[in-house]
Formats: sequence, structure tokens, C-alpha cells
Amino acid sequence: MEPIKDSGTQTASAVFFDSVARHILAQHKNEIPDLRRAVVLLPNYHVAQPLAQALARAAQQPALLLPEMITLNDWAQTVSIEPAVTPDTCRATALYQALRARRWFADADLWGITSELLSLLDELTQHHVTLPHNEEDFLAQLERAYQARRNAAMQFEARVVHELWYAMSADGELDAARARQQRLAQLAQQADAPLVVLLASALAAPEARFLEAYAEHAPVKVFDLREMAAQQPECAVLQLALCGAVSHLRDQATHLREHFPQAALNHPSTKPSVLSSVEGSGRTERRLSLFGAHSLEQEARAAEAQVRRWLLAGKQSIALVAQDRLVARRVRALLERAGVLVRDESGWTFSTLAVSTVLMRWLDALQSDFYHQDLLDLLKSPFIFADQSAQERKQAVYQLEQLVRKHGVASHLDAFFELAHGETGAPARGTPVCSPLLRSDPSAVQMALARLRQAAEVLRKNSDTLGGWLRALDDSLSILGVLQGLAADEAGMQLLQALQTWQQELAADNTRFSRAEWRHWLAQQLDAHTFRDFTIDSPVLLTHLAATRWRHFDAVLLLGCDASHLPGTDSGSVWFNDAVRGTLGLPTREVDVARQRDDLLALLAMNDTVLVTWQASKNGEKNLLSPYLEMLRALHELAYGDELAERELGVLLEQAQVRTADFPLPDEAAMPAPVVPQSLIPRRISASGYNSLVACPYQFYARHMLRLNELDEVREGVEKRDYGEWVHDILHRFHQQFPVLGEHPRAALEQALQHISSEVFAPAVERDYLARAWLLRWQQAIPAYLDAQLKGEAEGWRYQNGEVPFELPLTEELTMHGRIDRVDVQSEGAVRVLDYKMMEATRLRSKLKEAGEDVQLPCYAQVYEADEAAFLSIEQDKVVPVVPPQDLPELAQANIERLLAVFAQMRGGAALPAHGVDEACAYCEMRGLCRKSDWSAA
Amino acid sequence: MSMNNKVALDPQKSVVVEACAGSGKTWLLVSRIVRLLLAGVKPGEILAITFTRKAAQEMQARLHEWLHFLAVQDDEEVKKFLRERALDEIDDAVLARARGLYRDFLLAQPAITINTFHGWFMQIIQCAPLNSGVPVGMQLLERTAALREEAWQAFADSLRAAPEGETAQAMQWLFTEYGLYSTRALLENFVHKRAEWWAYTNHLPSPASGRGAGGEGAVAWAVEQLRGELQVDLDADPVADACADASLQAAVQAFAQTLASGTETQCGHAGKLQAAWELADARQRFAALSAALYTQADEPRSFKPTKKQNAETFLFARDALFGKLQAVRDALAERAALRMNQAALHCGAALLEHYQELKLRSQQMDFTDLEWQVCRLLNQSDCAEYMQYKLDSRYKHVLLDEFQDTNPLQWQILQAWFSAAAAVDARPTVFVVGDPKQSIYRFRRADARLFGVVREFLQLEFGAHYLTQNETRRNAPAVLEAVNGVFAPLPDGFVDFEEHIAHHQGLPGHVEVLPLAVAAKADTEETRDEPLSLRNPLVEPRAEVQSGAREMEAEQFAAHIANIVAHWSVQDEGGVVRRAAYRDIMVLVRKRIHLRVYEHALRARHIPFLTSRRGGLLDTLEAGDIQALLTFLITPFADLELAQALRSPLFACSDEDLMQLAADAEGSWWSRLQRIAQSNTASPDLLRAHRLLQSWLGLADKLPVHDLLDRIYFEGDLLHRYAAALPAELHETVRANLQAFMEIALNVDAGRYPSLPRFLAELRELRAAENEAPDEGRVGEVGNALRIYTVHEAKGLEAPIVWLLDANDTQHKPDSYGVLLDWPPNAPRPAHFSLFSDKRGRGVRRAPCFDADEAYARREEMNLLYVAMTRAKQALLVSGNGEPAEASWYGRIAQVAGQGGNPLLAAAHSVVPAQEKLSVEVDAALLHPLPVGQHAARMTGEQRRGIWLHALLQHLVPPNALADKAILQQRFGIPSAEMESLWRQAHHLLALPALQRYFDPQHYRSACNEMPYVNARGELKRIDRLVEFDDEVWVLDYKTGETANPAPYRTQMLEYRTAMQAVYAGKTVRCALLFADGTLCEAG
Ligand code: SF4
Repeated sequence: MEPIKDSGTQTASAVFFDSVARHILAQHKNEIPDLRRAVVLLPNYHVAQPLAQALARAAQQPALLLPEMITLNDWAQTVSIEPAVTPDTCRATALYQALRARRWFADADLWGITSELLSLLDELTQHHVTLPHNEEDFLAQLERAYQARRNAAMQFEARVVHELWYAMSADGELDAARARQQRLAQLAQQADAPLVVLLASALAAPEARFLEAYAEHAPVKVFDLREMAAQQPECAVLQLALCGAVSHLRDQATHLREHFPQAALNHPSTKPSVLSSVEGSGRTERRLSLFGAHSLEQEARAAEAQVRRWLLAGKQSIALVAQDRLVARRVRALLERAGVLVRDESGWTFSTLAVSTVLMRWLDALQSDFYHQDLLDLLKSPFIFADQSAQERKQAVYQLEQLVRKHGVASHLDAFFELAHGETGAPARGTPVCSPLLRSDPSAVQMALARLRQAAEVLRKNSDTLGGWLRALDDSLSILGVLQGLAADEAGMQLLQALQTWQQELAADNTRFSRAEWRHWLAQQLDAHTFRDFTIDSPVLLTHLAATRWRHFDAVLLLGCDASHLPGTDSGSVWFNDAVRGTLGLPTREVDVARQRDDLLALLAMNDTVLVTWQASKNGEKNLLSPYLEMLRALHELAYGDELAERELGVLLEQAQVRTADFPLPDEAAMPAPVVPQSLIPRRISASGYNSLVACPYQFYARHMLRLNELDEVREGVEKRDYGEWVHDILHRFHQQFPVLGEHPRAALEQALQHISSEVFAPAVERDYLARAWLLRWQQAIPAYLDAQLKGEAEGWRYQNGEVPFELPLTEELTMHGRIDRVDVQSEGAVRVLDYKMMEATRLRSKLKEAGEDVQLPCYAQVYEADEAAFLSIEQDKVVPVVPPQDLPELAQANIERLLAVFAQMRGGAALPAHGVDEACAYCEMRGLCRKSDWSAA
Repeated sequence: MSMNNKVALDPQKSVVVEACAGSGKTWLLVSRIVRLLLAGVKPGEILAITFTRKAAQEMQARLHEWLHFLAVQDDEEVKKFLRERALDEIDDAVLARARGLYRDFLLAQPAITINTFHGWFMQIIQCAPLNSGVPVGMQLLERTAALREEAWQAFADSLRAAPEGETAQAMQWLFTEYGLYSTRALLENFVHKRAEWWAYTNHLPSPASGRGAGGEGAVAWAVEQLRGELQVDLDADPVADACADASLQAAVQAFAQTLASGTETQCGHAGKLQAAWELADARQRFAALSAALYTQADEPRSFKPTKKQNAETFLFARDALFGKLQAVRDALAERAALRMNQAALHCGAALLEHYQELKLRSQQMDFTDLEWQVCRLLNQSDCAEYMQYKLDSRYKHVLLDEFQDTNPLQWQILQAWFSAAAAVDARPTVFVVGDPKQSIYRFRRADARLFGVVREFLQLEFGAHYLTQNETRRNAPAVLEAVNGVFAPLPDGFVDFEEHIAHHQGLPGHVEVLPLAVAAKADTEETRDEPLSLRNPLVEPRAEVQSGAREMEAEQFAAHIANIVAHWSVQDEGGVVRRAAYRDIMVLVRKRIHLRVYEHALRARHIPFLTSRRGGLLDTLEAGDIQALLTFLITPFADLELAQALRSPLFACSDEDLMQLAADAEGSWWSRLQRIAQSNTASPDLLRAHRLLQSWLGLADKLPVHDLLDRIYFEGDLLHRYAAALPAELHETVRANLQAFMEIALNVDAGRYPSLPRFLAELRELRAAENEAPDEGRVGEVGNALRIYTVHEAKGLEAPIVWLLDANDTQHKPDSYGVLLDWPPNAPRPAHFSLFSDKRGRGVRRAPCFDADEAYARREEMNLLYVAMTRAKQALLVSGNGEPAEASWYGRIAQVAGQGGNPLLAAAHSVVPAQEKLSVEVDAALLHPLPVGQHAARMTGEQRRGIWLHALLQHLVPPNALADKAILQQRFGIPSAEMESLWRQAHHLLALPALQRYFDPQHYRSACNEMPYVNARGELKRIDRLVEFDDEVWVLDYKTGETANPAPYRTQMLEYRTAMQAVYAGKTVRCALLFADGTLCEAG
């Protein structure tokens, strides 16, 4: 242990503590070394340590029994009172019920109003406001405060507050605010010990009242940091800028220059001030400097770099005081990169934590009848099924997900069960029911589903008390193994604890709530409670302004100090306005703002190494510095010629990043052109595969050699490709039934086709109303289709076959395969292949214009040795065949020859370049593999 | 012709200023605020409304800057400043006040309100009276696409549930007529215009639900209204009537006969007409007549008299017939329009209800709701009055910027505000600035006509002064010459235009119209005889179809940019002439559609540029890579996503690596990668990928998304690897995009109930939502790049050099499937509201309305040109492609552009001084991790129980024992399962006879728990229990361990003893450890 430091080299803060210590010792000089009779009210417990040290320094005793050092809240808690305090949860239900009964707010969220009202009522209690007995008097009071004529809106406001205030205080229950009041009163009543109070800002009314009462019985000495700072020459500029009287900036500056030439913030207080040295010199060490960043990222990086500089300079305690939580979060992550852990004193609301996500997702899943996204999200939470290994759980959820994607099942627990049992009757989109791999162990999935079902049972009710709902939730979580999962997590434990506390508090409450009301309540609770992480021990800590009162750190970083965060705007209450609050005796915004200003002053007075950061521009918009700091900067610049800007950091942080550069950097991207080994060259090719090969060899390579596919998505609405499939299906069925249309009356044909169409569309229409629109679209094409078909028959074409799969060996090593929509023949034996396309004829024509760019028809023609080949363009009221403009047999021949030649070249080691044209790339799923946009500019 | 600032800035006067582009509207507004403050107005009494948040921020910043100036400058400077703002009598008192403004203003409570309409509305809504029907506790919903999609699905579900219901029938009809796509567009457009719809139907008694106007009754009313306007007689049958009409028959006969005397074709038509009339069925007859007289595209066929025919009789017969037929067709069109409105309004209202319901359920409100709610609120006179005093600020001065962009609803709100203010005798002064020539936000429902109406209103009601300002401080005379040239002849919709004058007469300027790019005629004729030879895709890429005129324009553009940067000079604010840089050039386009072509050309020349491509972020390849990686991390069987991640610069795996993975045909790619990694055959890249992916897979469900991403960025050395893989001109953009992606994650994490799957689902939604997807990242201030904007985005911006691209384009698609609206600017509600489909079904009754709309659209097109041209400070360049079109922007500018030399083509006096870079020594230690801090070892159950037991002991020890079990349990957060045994144990200890001495007050003189002391070294220590007897003092230290071994605690005990010995000098100090089982063990 080092010997205790001499106060001569102590920091600014030590001066303050020393005067407190001297006072205590003087007051108790006869009791030294036993100071236990004294009581010191602290703003927070971090202050105990430096105060104790100051006492030790001043007393110079081997040991000193310390005064009671306690915060006012804790001190009050030591007083026990009767009757028991009604918890806020119960008060909220009572109030909720009162509101519900009165039907004042039709559509509104009553929980929101309840919590607003409760906090108003508490404030009234805390500030000893009693409303007049008579509502009319209250209204008159409001009228005066608002300085306005009364009207319906004001009357209503008065009535709500007045009536509920009396309703809530009528039942004689003791709420926390009242209890605190009584306790403070008792404390003051029984006061015997001399009291020392450490303050940083004005006392709130209840506290002031307490001290007054206390002082009647025992001495009270208040140490107000603002006054103490005013006595310190090095705080002169702070004092003037933040709390100064109304005198003008220039006068203030002159005053500073004359009376406090050494109070500039741009040199350590120990060095003598030399004004001229400021100019031009690169490095000045400052008590305070300001860094305006041009983005969130830059602000965070600057903060991170500065913290590490301080650490390297040997600072032992560094506070990150976050006005903006978003930046703080980013800074914390950046520091963690660099190995610097951060102790987080400020909490995070439960609703932003993953431990609450699992809870809410469970309720979401229940509500949405296990909508697949909610379900999978739930099952991917690390907190569920905690009795299994993570590996097992994940295996099961991935299996389920694969099934869900493959079969496109969107929701319903039963449907998932069917999937898992492999008995799905659902029309699978294209693929076999279950891959063998999955079928081997469906039990894990089934087990998971069974637990979900069992857990869902527990919550299957429409109304219950909050306690009842919470118990049911607890049971369901237990079934799901979530309780176990949460218990293994720090935040989870605190969440469980909170749930348990609420359950206990509400055990006797018998107000009933619907499922929706309960959920809403729960969400509000999770929003209102915070989690604090105590698991990290570090010299760097994250905290908020109000928590820094009377604290000294080796260095302080104030994050996010723009005008909108300092002073911060809490959104205020919906009740009354500041004028009314002021007359009622409630604190106004002005009080809140003044408190923040005082806290800032205290922080700057207590600490001599402070960096302030803010985003000087945000999303390309200007963003102003906090007005306090702006004032300070202006005054400082005027008085001492330095605007306190931190200039090095911006340059430095470009170069001072920690990197994981343990691996050589990649080469500049270039067009890929892989040479594929024999083993990967496919032995079968379809027409669409060939098309892909022509459009872009690399795309072909990715699809058919790497065999990569996009994930199946669960599609909920009908899409164009479904429409295409169904029309194919309809036409196939129709022609199987009516190979020759000419033999039937037209009306009968139309009717039959309509009928088949409705049948094919039926399941889709059942699922989705909008499928009707597609059905209608097709139905509108039916007459045109029949016309076209009859015209074909008139030309002698007869339907021969449809949906025909084929295999055509081209060489030993290559087979062409596929499925032809339809084959027609003529009596002379001529053959025609047709392919249905739900596409405009002009687009089809342009596809066919350049020979060899669309190979489908020529290939089919080759397979069937057809004389003609056409796309049949089916549009709303137009059905036309589109034929290739070239000579078909010649074209077919050339296509096959080219295919063989290209395959031969591939086998011979030719590369497959990624050179699709823009049109091909536009919808290419392989753009992430070929990376065209990375190299196409080069 | 500088404006009279004396009037404009007079705090007492209400003023309307019509000020041209670049005339310093912000200067004027902020000056006025300064004058108000000087006149003693409190900041809280000022309300300034701007069009964008950005403008509000800028105004705020400017104000601070000026007030700071006043506070610190010499008297002379201050006086000069004030004189410039038309303040003449400046005595010491004024000076003193001016100096004090800064501080007063900065710290004022309530502060000044400088906000957008929406921001201000939100303020109002948040303190709306509770009984006003405004929902309490609403959040503002900025992105609506996802919710609109959800509403559409909910609507579809409701139809499925009642397929025979009225709504479903109506939908079915709409589907048949217009198809799914257009029907949805129509209904969505209706929902988009819901504020107007509500305003239109607001006067009707609202349905019981209390949710305001717009329900079923409203639809019936609106349809009936429309029927009246369209003059549809539902009982009549126009076709039957016409077919039974002898005069029509006569007209048919007459024209048929006339035709019969003509050419062969004409005879044919005559025959068709005759035959048509002979059809018995009225409908068939009419259809046949129509077919004979109108083309398939529904255009009247052209019939011209031959030389032989009597032209007069021919034309007379023709026109008579067409006239009659057209009348019937028009009547039919009106009927069809009515039928359509009937169905679509019905369905639209139903869809709207779903949308509103969804928002209400999730406690959200979008901008339109906000506007409507505020409007409703302020139109209830009680509430409006209440709002006057409910806000903490009481506005005595209202300043409105960019007034031409105000919409009728906003104006109504203002009016209501003013009249409520008048009712409480607090009518403010009003200061309005705007420029109807810059009104380009019709699509956001702005109405430039309001400007004139409001001017008159304010003149009449507020005695406002009307001033105009046509002197600009921005543009060089050369640019203005072009502006004046284009607009002085009063093009489309312009009724007056006053010549603009340059403030900086000496500023060199240049207007350059580049030759139109025209595509070379491609030879379309293919030589048929050549033998068919097909392209070999392995060796020959397909030729891009394009290389048309646009590509030529793009090439010309990029080449010229390079030239400008090499040879041109621009003049800075201070008059310094310096070499032009990329950042000096702003490129404007009307639409983004063809941007890719131009960007391509820029890239090919390595010209750095920035496109504020709205919503583009998630479609960039780099954002795609990260999404693929994250998707893989939660769905490890996503092979393609894994492959993309592997190929991205993050891992930069080669195709050989991929082929190695593909060769192993078993299982997912991830399982293959695992196998290969273990088999010693993997490349270093693959090994690295495996190592990192393995570790990230483990973190994916543990870390919040942002933290996970940060790990990925860091451990993957992401930014550096992307920089290495990509060409230099992409570095800034890619880096900015990667950071923007990180920021999305940061924001999402701060939201409620985050998870990685939800994050990815949200990204998918964002991507699907047109216009609302996240923007690409902004490059920091450092970048020197050309900026590309649409004209809309460029509003409020300026640049030394402005290039108007693709300016020869005259195509503009007429709106279809939308809402036709006539809302006279000053009327409380629209005079007309109906839906329309495509051009064909419009009829004639609504024609004036359509025409007015179109005229307005044309005028806005000219406004857009005005805005575009006036962005240029010194140089305006215009290029285009295609055939010359006089009415195009290109054509208009080309007609007036002079042939003068280019004064910018001059050597710069000075080169841009390279930004002085501070050289900073970087401590090498900053480049390496610096392990600091540690995770506290998780407390064992044992330790935790120990702590609880201590706590209980302390509170159960007499005297003053706090015996309420429940309270203690809650205070210390002891789980129920543990409480019982701990409780028993604590009582057991307290009751142990051997310990009575230390716990029972009868036995000792005094005792205290948790007693802190400080030793000579300043160390704060705490003693669990100190018991003082007459002759001795005991220090008790509670221990939880099972074993009663005091050895490890010896030093600690020694310290206690020494310290206490100093305090209790006369007594023996003894120390003991008290174990959980009750063993008391005295130390040494
Ligand atoms: S994106 Fe274009 S170049 Fe890349 S694989 Fe697809 S088609 Fe080929």
C-alpha cells in the first residue's frame, strides 16, 4: 500500500473533501477516533471512499471509526413503519380499474394513462401538495395557473386528476411516496446526531423540508459543491459561464483576465498560466477540451482512442459519462475490441435485452398461432430448452426450419407436427416430403413441438388476474426450459427475480385482465425496469451525469453532449404545464434543467481531465453543441484565446486503431474465370441449364457445378411463378381430357376449362383471397386461348402429348433432359413443340431475335425432331405463338453442336468467365459470388 | 431592386416575402429573429417553421453564430451588423441588449421553437387535452410500408372470411376490370390521400366508433355526390336509348350513304355501318357501330372526303354521327367511372380501416394521421383555445419558411391556431417567406396556390406587408441571364416572372449546352445468307444491347468532368480563385432511372462520386455480404449465403476453394468446410474462414446484433480487406456503407426485444419497402467527390458548378389509378374527390379537373427546372440525348444560352491550400490491444447464499430487528426456494447459546454491524460486527465456508485488531470468525 498522499499534490476534488473532513473532525473533536455519532448524507456511495481518505488525512490517526455515511433513501429505509406499503404494481391495477370503470378514454391505452397518472399522484404526494376538497376550487386554481378562461378541456383535466386523487387516497393505503414521507418525518423527529450533507444541486422540496425539520433537533451542515466551487479560482470560468449573473460575455472575460489570469482550462492547474504559450503550440494539456465529430462512428472512435491514451498514460479511473446511449454502446464495443472491458453502472431496460426477447417471442408465437418466423426465432433463442445441449437444440430447430422452408408451412402448431411426422398432405412445392437425412431423427423436432404444445396449454385462457397470468407464464417457461436458461444468465436472473417479485406483490390482487391487457402490462413493466450488470471489474466505467455527483476520476469522457442531449429532454408529463406545475408546487422543467447544469458544473469542478465529444454533424445535418458548453467555450475563448477544441484526436484516430491484421490482405478483385476439374463437370444438362451457360458461364458454374441454390422461402401470397405453374397444370389436364377441341361445342369447352381452372386454383383461393385475382386473370385469357387453339387445329395441328419428360443422350458423357410443355402433330407427320409463357409476345420475340441466345426451343425441337417450335404467349386477352425467326432445324443443329463444343472445351480446361450482360446480371442470384460490381469498374 | 429590409425586419409588422432562389431567405428569417430578440421578445414566444429538419438545424446554427458574434465583437462590428439588419438607432442600451442576447437565448426556458411542421405538430399532440379524442401516448411511425403491407394482408384475410360479402364482391369486380396490380395501386393511392378523404367527408355525422369520418356512410355520400357531378341517371340506359333514337339512325344512314359514294375502303365502312344498325340487340348494335367508327385503341377513325365527294356534306354527316355517338360513349364512361368509384371507395375505405386499426393497436401514428389529428384538434374551438395556454411557449411571433410547400391541411391548422390565438387576444405577428417558383412538392400534397391565398389573407387580416425580392446572392450574372431567358417568356403555367438580378455582378459565370447525343443508326438489316454461327459463351461475351444515345451522353459527360477538374477554376466565398475540384460539381437529374449508365461512365474514368441513392444501402454488394453472413450464422444450412461470405473480401476465398467444397457432395457446405478444415487440405483462406465462422456461430445467439457485427468487423479486419479488394474510388463509399449498416444494427439493438432473426426479417421488410429503405452511408467531410442528386433533393443546396444531365427527356407518364382532387386553397374541404383509372375511363364531366391537374403538373415541371438552374453559382452545364425537343429543359436552355467564352477556363491564382494536417505522434501501443478489466468470477451459489445470510443476520440482530420476512426477501432479492432455509439458519445462529454474548444486547455494552473505519493509509475497511464489552472488544467476521479454518484470514484479522486497538486503547481487542454452522473461531 502506498502511503496516503499529501493534500498539496491532490486534485481539485481533494480540496472539497478536505474541507468537509475538517468540519467533521472539528465538530467531533472530542470523540476522535470514534466518529460514529456523525451522519453524512452522501449523493452516492462512491463518495464514501474519498471522504474517508480525507478524514484519515486530516485526522492522522492509526484508525478512525467512520461516521455513518449513507444516502437519504437508504437512511429512510432504516425506519420501519406500519402498515405495510402497498406496492406500485397493486396501485396500478387499482387505478386501472378505476379508469376502466369510468370509461373516460375510449380507445386509449389505459396502462399508459395509469402510469402517467400514478407518477403525477406520487409527485403530488412527494411535494406535499394537497388538492382542494372541492373540484370547483381545484378548477379555479388551474384557471389562475394557466392564466386562461376555463373550458371543457380544462374541466376534464381537473376532474380526472381531482377525482382519482381522492379515489386513490381514500382507501387509506400507504404508498411508497407517503411511506418515505413518514419515514423522513420520523428521522427528523428522532434526530440527535449532527448531520453533514453533501450537495451538488438545489434540494428538492421534500428533502429541503426534511433538513429543516432535522435542524430543529440537531445541527445540520450543508456542503454545496456549487458554493464550494465558487470559492476555487480554477473554477472561475466554469462558475461564470454556467451560473454567472446576467453580465455580458465581454465583461466576464475581462473580469477573468484581470482577476483569474491562471484559471484557463487549457493547462493543468498546477502550472502557472502563460497566456502566450497557448498560441501555436501543438500540445496543450487541458482540463477540458471539446471534440466535434462528423459522425457517430467518428465520435465513438475518438472516445475509444482517448480512453486508451488515458489508460496508457496510467489513469486509474476513467468515467464515460453518456448523454447519448447509442454512442455509448458503440464506444463500449470498440473498447472491447481493444481488450478494454467497461464496467456499466447505468442500466439497460429489460425490453432491450435478449432475455426479454425470449419471453415476448413466446407470447408472440402464441398469439400468431405459431407464425413460422416467431416460432423459429423463439427456438433460436439460447434461453429455450436449456436442459438440452445447445447443439441438440440447434439441430432440432434447423431441421424444423428446413422442413418449413421446403414445404412452405406458414403457421399452426398442428401443421408443424404433421411436418415432423413426415405425414404432410400439404402440396409440397416441388420436392419430396422428407429428405432421408431428416427422417432419420425426427424425434428431436417432435419433442420440441410437444413441449411447445404443452406450454401453450398452460396459457390457454382468456382472462385472469395479473398474478394468475404471471404464474401461468412461469409454468409455461418452466416447461420450455426457459427458466433454467434465464437462471444461468446474469440478466436472466434479474428478470426472473423481477417476475417473481411482481407475482408476490400481486398475489392478493383479484382484478381480472384479458390476455391483451396483461401482455400490455408486461411490456410496460419490462420497459420500466432496468438491468444492471455487476459482473465486470474495470477502471473504465460507463455512467450517467447524475451519478457523478461529488465523484472524482482520473479522466472523464462526456459523450453525446449536443444540444438535444444536454440538457436532456425527458418528454414530460401529459398533465398540466410548467406554469401550473409551478403554482401547484411541483418541480418544473426549469428545475430539471438547472439540476443538469449543476451536475455538469460539479463534474467539471471535481475533475481536471475532461474530454467532451458530440456529433457536430449528424446525417449531414448540423448539430449544435450543448448550450452550457457553448457558453463555456465562448467565454473561454474570449478570456483566454482558446476555444478548447481537441485537434489531435481527429488525426490520431485514423492511425491509432487496433486491428486484427494477422492475415495478408486480399488481392484486388478481378473477374473470376475458374477452370473446372472433370469431376465437377455435369453429365446432364437441361435447356435452362444450357441457357444459363450461354448467358454467363460463371452463373452456370455456380448453379450446376457448385450446385448452389437459394434458400427456399416460405411464400405466403401467390406469386407470378405459382400462377405459371397452375396454368401449365390446367392446360395439361384440359388437353388430356380434350385432345381435339373441334369435336366439342365451344360452350362446353369453355365450361370445362373454367371448371378445371377453378379446381386447380381452389386450394390457393382457399388460403388467400388475392389468388382470385390471378384466377380471374387466367379466366379472362380463356376465350383467347380457345381461339388460338382452334385456329391451330384448323391449320391441322393436333394435340399429342403434354408435360413430357425426356432424356436425350448427346454423347457418352452428356445427356440432355427436361420436360416439354406440349407436343403437337400434323396429319402429315410434322411435329411442333410448344412452351407456354405467361409473358408478352414482344418480350418473347426479342428473346428469340439473336440466334443462339435462347436455346430452349431449338433444344426441344432437336429432342423431338420437330419441324416447328414456338412459345405460346398467354396474356390477358391475347394468346399468340411466337416462333424463332431462324431456320429451325439448322438452328437446333447449331445449338447442339455448340453445346458439345463448349463441353469439350470445358473438359479441355477452358475457363468459365463471369461475363453476363447487365440484363442477365440484374436478376442473377450469383452476383455475390462473381462479385461483378467489385471489379467491373476496374 | 433590393427589397426594403426596414419593413421586412420590423418586429411589429406582419410581412409576406416572395423571394427568389438564392436571395438569402435564411439570412432574412434569422435576421428577423435577431431583431425580435432585440426588441425584447422572449425566445419562447417565437415559433419558426421550416420545411426540413436540416433547414431548422441550419437556422438554429446561424442564429447561435450571430448571437455569438454580437456578444464578442467590437462595438463597431456590432453596429455594422445591426445596421445591415435595418436597425438605425443604435444607442448604448441597444448595444448592451445585443451583447446579452447570446447568453439569454442559449439558456432560455422555454427555448425558441424552430421546427418542421411535423415536429411542431408532435409537440402539440403530446399535450393535447385528454378528452379531445386524440389517442394518448402515440409514437410517430416514420416508415409505413411494412404496416401498409400488413394492412393489405389483413384486408385480404377479411375478404377470405366473407367471400360473398359486399366488399369481396366489389373487389372481385375491381380485379376483373383492372387486375390485381392496378387495383392495389388504386386502393393504396386512396389510403395515401386519406387526409383529403377525411376532410372531404368530415362534415358527415361520424359513425359510433368515434374514429372520425370516412366510414360506410361517407362512401355512400361520396358516391352520391359523384353521381350528381357526373350527371349519371341510374334509371336510364344510354345504349338502349340511343339505339331506339331515330335521330341516331338518321345520322348513321346519312353518313353511311355519304361514305358509300367514296373509295373502296369507305364503301366497306359504309357496309359495316349499315350492317351494324341492322343488328337487333341494342348492345351488339352499339358495339358494332363503335367498332366501325373507332379503332381498337379507341381513337376515332379518320374519315376524309375524297375529291369527288362534297366536303361540306361529308364533314357535316361525319361530325353529326360522331357527335351523337360520342355523347353516348361519354355517358357510358361516366357510368363506368361511377361504378368504379362505388367499388373502389368501398374497398378503399375498408382497407383504410384495417390500416388505421393496426396503427391504433400498436400505438402508432404516421405523418398523415398526425396532421389530421392536429387539424381535428384545433378545429374544436375548446381544444384550440386550450392549446394556446397548454404549451409552455406562447407564440407571439410566427415565422414560416418555404411557404410554397405547405399543404392545405397545414394551412388550416395554422389558420385554426391563429383564430384561437385571436380568441384569447394573443394574435401573433406573422412572417412568411416563400417562392411559388420553387414549389416542387405536389407529390407530398403541397399546393403552391396557397401562397397567393395566404398572402391575401394576411394582408387583409394581419395588415401584412407584401414584399418581393429578386436579387440573388448566389448566381453569377451569366447563369442568371439563362434563368431570365428561360422564364421571362412565361413558359407553361408561369403568369408572372420578374427579372432576377445578381448581387455579385463581378462573379465570373458560364453556361454551356453540350451537343445532344444522338445514337448512330444501327444496321438492323441482317445479312441472311451468312451461315448460322452461334456465339461461344466461353470466349465471347454477349454484346451489351445498349451503346445508344444515353451511353454517348454519359461518355461525353465523364470526359468533360475530367476536363473541368483539370482546367477550370472557381471562386471561393472570399473571392479567392482556385482550381475546381470534384466536390465543386453537383450533378442533377430529374429521375434516378438511368443513373446507372452515367455512373458507369464515371467509374470507367475513375471519377469519385457520391449518389445519395435513397434506399440503396441494402442492395449494395457489401451490405449483401454482411446479410448473407448473418443469415448463415442463424441458418447454417444456407449454402449460397456461406459461399457468398467466403467469396467476399472478408474471406476472399478463391473459386478453387469453392470447388473443393463442391467436390465433397455430402451434407451442407458448412459441414463440408468443417471436414476439409480438419483434413489438412484446406487453403489458408479456408482455414481462416473456418476458424472465424466457427467462433461467430457460437456468438450469434449470445451477442446483441451490433456487438456481433462489431466482432465480425474487427476480427474479420473487414474495412481493410474491402479496401484492399476494391478500386480506390469505391473505398469511401463502401466504407460509409459498411458503417451505415452498423448504425442500423445499433439502432435496432436499442429497440425492443431484439434478436438476430428479427433483425434480418426487418432488413428484408425494409428492402421490400419502396422509398423507405435505408439510405447509403454518407461519406465524411473528407471526401472529394462529385455529388449526384435529383432536383428534389438538391433543393436548398448550391454548388459552383452544376450539371443538368439527361435534360432532353420530355416523357412524363400521366398518373393513372389515383385520386382526383379539387381542393380550392382556402376551402375547409375539397370540392371534389374521386378515383380514376387509366386515361380511357375518364369521361368528360371531370375533364376540367383533370385539365387543371395537368396544367399544374406542367407548371411544376417548370418550377423544377427553375430550381435546377438556380443551384449553380458560377457554371451551368446542360446535356441530353435523343432528338431535339424544343419544350424539353435542354431545348429551353439551348434557345437562350449565349456563345460567350468561358471565364472559368483560367489558371487559378492559387492552388487550394492543402489542409494543414496536424502531425501527431502515434504511440505504437495504441495499435495493440490493451487488456484492461476483467469479468468478475460468477458467484457460486454458496457465495450468494453467504451474502444473503449476512444480510439477514444484520437485520435480524436485536435491537431494531426488522422481522418482516417478505420485506427482507424482497429487499435482498432472495429466491423463494432459498429463503426458507436461510431464514431458519439465521435464526438458528442468533439463538445459539454460545453466541448470545455477541447478539443479545443484555450481554454487551454496545455493538454495531457493518462498521466502516479508515486506517492510517486511507484504506476503507468494514467490520461485520463489532461488539464492545466493558473490558474487551470483539471483532466478528462472518464466513460462509464449510471448513472452520481461520488460517487464510490471519492478515485480515491482524489488521482489524491493530486498527481497533488504536481506537479502543484501554481494552483488549479480540477477533473471531463466525462460520455459517455457528462455529466461532477466535483468530490467533
Ligand atoms: S451476376 Fe452476371 S456476371 Fe455474375 S454470375 Fe451472374 S450473370 Fe454472371
